[in-house]
Amino acid sequence: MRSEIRRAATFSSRLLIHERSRLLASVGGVTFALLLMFLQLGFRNALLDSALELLRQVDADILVINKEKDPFLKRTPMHHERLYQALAADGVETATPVWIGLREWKNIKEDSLHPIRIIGFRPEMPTFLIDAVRENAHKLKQIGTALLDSRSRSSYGEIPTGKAQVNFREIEIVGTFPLGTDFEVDGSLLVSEETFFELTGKSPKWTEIVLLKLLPGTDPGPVLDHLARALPGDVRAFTKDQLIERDLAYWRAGTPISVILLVGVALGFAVGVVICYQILYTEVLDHLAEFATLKAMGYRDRYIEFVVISESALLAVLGFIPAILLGTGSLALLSWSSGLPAGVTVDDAVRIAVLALAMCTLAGLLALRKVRSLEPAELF
Amino acid sequence: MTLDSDKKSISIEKLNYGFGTGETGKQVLFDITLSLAPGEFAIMTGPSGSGKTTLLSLVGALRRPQSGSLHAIGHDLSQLESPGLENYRRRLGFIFQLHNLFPALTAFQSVQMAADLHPESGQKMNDRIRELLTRLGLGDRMDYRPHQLSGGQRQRVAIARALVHRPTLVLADEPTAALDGENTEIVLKLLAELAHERRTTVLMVTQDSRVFESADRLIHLVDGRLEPEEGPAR
Repeated sequence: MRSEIRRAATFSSRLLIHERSRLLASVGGVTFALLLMFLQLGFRNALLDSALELLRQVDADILVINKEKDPFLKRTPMHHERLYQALAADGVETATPVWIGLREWKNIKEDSLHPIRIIGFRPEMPTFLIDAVRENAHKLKQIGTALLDSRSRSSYGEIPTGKAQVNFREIEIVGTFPLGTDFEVDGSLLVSEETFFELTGKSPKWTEIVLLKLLPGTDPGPVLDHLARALPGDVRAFTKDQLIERDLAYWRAGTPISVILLVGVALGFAVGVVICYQILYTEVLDHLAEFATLKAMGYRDRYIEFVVISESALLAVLGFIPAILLGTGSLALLSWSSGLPAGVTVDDAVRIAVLALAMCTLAGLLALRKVRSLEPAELF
Repeated sequence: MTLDSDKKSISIEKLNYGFGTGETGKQVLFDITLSLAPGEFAIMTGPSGSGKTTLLSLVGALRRPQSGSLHAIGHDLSQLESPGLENYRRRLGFIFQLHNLFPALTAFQSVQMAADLHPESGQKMNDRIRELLTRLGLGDRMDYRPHQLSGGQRQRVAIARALVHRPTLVLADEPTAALDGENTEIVLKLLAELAHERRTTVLMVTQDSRVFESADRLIHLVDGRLEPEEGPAR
């Protein structure tokens, strides 16, 4: 049985490799379908990762937010008093406020306005896990200074440091930090609490997020229970992991764009099945008399099925290699040009590899119908 | 299976066969009764459309008998199902009118495809493939693919493919049609050797009167009916 499979695999590779131009076209077709799937998955990852990046980078064990703040990026502030109420809970070591607003950044060179997310925080409090923020936070103590997201889109113009204009007020960019864009804004600006209120004109009565750090060794479960009882009903507390999971669920299932991108993956799969089927069906059709001869010689249907399925698997492997190279390259280019964290993980690559095999095998099984119905008597 | 059919390589009794049914149906074989002994080399001839190839395909288990009985090398072909069907076909050496070689395979690999079906595959079988191809005048063409070979050379590869596993029964449909006189001689000698030295039964369909003398028996099929035999061909 094993040697039969090995022989079938060798035979199928000979069949495929023999006609180089057809092989190239076939691999190109499979690559195209897989590339479609890679890109759709990469776009979806960009959507999920960009939406979660800010949340991932906050330095907190527990976050208190307005109960209507779903997803996390939705700007829904709560009363600032919640900070002190949360701080009073047993096991909480620090409570840090974060303010978020959306204002216009002026590209001075092009005289154009672009939305930018302004994030206010207390520079002396540990708020973000980003090294560059920790190192440069002290520079923000001077009012009118800001750190600019180095992964902001180029629409903001070339301003690593220096004067800039936000909401028609002049500010000084004193450093950069890497965060990345998302589907709402082209970049972010980190400022101190005072600069935030001056730039946005928002009321200090309202806070967007409260980050809680717990005393070392504290179990967050009882703290969450305590907060649920102690805080008014307009807010909710989550551990950071809980909130990431909630947001992931929201972006995966609750947004049309995520569904559309998944449909795109399915479409790539369907296109791949059609392309692969055409290739294998033509291959079978071109060699119908030869396959019939094999049957007349005593080869079983199973062997010919192995041959066609091996061809399918080989096509999947040969198509996957250029697809992963082109896919990661294209997504890296997109990531560089848009600032979105577009890319695929190893898990995604494995998923695509499995889909590639499934796609080509399904096409092979469809093409096999012709072989199964083949009668060697048709040779005469 | 009768005791009588056990002793024979091919035993056919009152075999009928037709294509299609009703008004459009056409019967091509009528009450064929024929037997061939092991080691017998028979040539079947007759005008085009007389049913020779149909009879050959029935003996080759490529078609199923519709009425009458057909036994070959110990198998009742009207009852044969997979995997017995494939096992029976593996004991045959079928030379088709069209060579049907895979364009991707070299002459050696094409013959190897037939050898692979048998347990003795390996170095010994590879040596036999080389020996057979050399004997058929293809010693220097073993690594050539069909498009690099002439029609006659391709036909000889197909012949080697049919004979490499030393079949019990050889069924050949116009095997010498694409061959010149010299190569026809070689092929006929090979078939005769198989029949007389290895007791392989050979049933060959041909209209090539040059080769009739090589056979032990000459069978005439006209309009789907066997003509009375006149005696040994030689």
